[in-house]
Amino acid sequence: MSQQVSSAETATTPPYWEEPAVELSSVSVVFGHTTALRDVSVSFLKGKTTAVIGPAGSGKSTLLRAAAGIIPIDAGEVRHFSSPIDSLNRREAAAHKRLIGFVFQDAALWQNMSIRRNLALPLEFHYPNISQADVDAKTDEALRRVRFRGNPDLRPATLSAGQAKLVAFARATILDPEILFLDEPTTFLDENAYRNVVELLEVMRRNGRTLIMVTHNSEVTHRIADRIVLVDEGTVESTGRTRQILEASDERTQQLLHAAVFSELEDAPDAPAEGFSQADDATTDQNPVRPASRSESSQQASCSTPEHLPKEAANDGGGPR
Amino acid sequence: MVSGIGRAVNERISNLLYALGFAVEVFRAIPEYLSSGRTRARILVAQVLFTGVEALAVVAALSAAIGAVIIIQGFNLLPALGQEQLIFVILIAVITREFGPILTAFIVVARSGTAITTELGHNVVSHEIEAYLATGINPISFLVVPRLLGVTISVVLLNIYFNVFGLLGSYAVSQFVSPIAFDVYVYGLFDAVTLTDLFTSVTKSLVFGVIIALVATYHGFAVARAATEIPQRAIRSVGHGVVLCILANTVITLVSYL
Amino acid sequence: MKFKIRYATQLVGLFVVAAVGFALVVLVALGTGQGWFEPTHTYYTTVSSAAGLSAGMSVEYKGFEIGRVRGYELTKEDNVKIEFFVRGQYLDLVDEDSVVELTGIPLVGGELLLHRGIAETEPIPDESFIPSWDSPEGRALREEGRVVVSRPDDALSRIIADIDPILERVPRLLDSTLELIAGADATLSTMEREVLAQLEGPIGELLSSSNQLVRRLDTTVAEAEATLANVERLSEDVAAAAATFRDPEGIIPQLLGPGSASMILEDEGQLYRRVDNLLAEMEDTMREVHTLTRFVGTQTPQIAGLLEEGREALELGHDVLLGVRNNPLVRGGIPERMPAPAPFEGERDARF
Repeated sequence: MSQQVSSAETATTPPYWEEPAVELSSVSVVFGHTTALRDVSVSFLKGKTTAVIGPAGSGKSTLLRAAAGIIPIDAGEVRHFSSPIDSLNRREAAAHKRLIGFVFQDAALWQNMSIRRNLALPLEFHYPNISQADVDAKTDEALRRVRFRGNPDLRPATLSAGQAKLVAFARATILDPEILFLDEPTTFLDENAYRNVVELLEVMRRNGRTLIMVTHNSEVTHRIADRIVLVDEGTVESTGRTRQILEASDERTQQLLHAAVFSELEDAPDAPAEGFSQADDATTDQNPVRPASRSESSQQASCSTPEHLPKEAANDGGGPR
Repeated sequence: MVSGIGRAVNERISNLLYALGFAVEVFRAIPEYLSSGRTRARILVAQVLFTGVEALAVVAALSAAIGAVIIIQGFNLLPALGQEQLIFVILIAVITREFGPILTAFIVVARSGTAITTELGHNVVSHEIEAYLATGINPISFLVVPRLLGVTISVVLLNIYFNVFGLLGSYAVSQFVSPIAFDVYVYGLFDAVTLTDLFTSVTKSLVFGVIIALVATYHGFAVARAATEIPQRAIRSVGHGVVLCILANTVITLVSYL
Repeated sequence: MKFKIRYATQLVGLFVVAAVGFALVVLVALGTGQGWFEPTHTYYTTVSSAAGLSAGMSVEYKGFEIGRVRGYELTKEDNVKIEFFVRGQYLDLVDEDSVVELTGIPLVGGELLLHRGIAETEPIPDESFIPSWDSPEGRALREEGRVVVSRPDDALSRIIADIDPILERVPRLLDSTLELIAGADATLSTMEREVLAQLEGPIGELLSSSNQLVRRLDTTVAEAEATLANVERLSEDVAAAAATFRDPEGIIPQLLGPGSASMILEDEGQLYRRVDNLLAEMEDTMREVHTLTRFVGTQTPQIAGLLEEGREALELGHDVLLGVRNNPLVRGGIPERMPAPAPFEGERDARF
């Protein structure tokens, strides 16, 4: 059933006026004995924001990592701006990495250095001759941009999950990348941080950056995503404009959308798919995101406002766009 | 059954090849590391601090104790043979040639090998390695090479300290057992030691340092995704490190003294 | 912790500098002591056997290490060529008439001894040949008395050094004695024949034959006397060695005493008793040889047998000393010796 949707809208051949920023052709990724991605071909358009959604364990995170080129792929090819990223020489590869940023779900800050060093390292790596003053100015600015409040000279271990996510966001954007990959950008965030991030994403989108994010959050999907890539069991089920996908009438797509939004409760994007059935019979209630983030950031004063989830964020297709 | 064995052998071989490829990668990344700036120098300094400076007390205590034991046993046994002079040869053979390199290696395996494996394993699990990759930083040149250099430098230097404390500590003990003038003692040692002894000792330490660092980093990176793998890898890191060091020790001793 | 992190660079710097500094001091001290920075002078010599030779063996003069053996090889002439160097500061010791000697000292290992020439000359140039002790050149230099013999002086090495010329001489003595006997026999049979022929033959022949015999006897007696001197010295050495051996404080019991080496050997003093017996036996034999050699001139027929016995005894003694030399620590034991074909089975057979 889903075949109808994908045959109509699959983005392997995008309209001529839309250039792809990131293309995957026939990409497979195998972890040991399990195939995480099976012959995936998909394009992410330049200047657009694409939400990669799907149930837990569907291979979203793997798809994102393969697209960003930070995990080795077992078959196929990944191209950024039409250049295969595996055939770059060292100089080109370094230049290429300046063009991309990656925000990890669990922030993945380098624990053995201060927050400031976490931000300074990409700068110093890509611009070895940069002065210390410039580094300090840039890091301060990046932290201000994400409205990070705290002592940047401390280690990341002292941060709450939400604060760590903000720092991760600052780190990923400090080089002002063309393409930003985000793995669950809004989980673990308290309300303030959540708003900050959504705002930042909107700014980047307005500035013509390409955003590719894995998310379970329907509000983010509605507000920011231009397009949706629906993933299940290691393959792309369908791709298309957000509204088209969300309003698709076939059962399969609707099922997957329900599962995708609900599975955020599982808080384990790469976990095996046993959570799937659980997600299946769950209803599309408005609470799917918040309980997790509230518990994660309970030390934040701002999180005591429980009803921050926008009411229109249900996935019935009535998005705010 | 047979296919099981075949698969196991296959896996072993491919693991071994992978490990060798890893080692080659690490060595190829050394120039890149050396040409890089101060950021990475900090990691090297930290590694020497943790591996070398912090292990100094253990090494000093151990070597002094071993030197003392050799002196006590030697002064019990050797006079009966009329060969007191041999005590210097034995001290050099035991402390400089054999125990110095291998015991410092063991100490470093136990302290820093596990630490490196655990740390890198944690880095993998917490996606910090992927963060490096996403930034364009090669984890091998950024994480492995400074650890390799730091551990190797530390093992060599600790071996020197082992000799200092082992030979001087034993002098202190010899004052209680059978007082001997300091210059006579030093002269005896200088008479007993040869350039081959020193060269072998340093070579061993260099090789052990490289082995420990490669094994530890390899197992650290071998952690796939679960935190529960980290302690398992740490244990294997120690086991492999110790076994490989002993094998290398035997080979170097054979090559040097045959 | 804070302190360590803050002063990490300084701590690590100190750690590195101290170790490297110490290593450098040791290297320089060691290098100076072992003469790495000194020029060396290479010479070579040839010996007949490489037994006991090893690369890196020290070249000694009066107990000082003046150089080392670099290496050795078997030459086309079936000799062993030893290449060794002498350190710059000892270059003066290498004269034109210098001789080197390859020795083995029990328990200490072998060494190459340098003996200086009597005439002090300019040091000879590098790469030149220095004759070895037993080579014809070396022997010639020794016999001409152009070499100062500088030898380490301890009981065991003295015995070993002395026993070789005796062992060399005794068979020679034996040979000449046999010759003498054969001569006497021939003379007697000639005489008998002459008597039987009722003195028909030429008397001059017999006379000249007798004269020859007498002359030969004279040389044999002289030879025997020389041997006697050697044997006497040897007996003294053996007696001294035996005395030190029985002396509980002496060097050999220290080596072999039940508290030390035999403990390692775990043979409950067997070796000790064996060496003791052998030494005692040797002493007896020496006395026998001693008595025996006195009668060389007069007791011609018995001499051969007795000498043969003496030779056997000396060989036995040699074995003992070899045993000692082969060192209980390495348990070399006493090597098998091929029984030398004896001209007589014993004293009884020696009597016509």
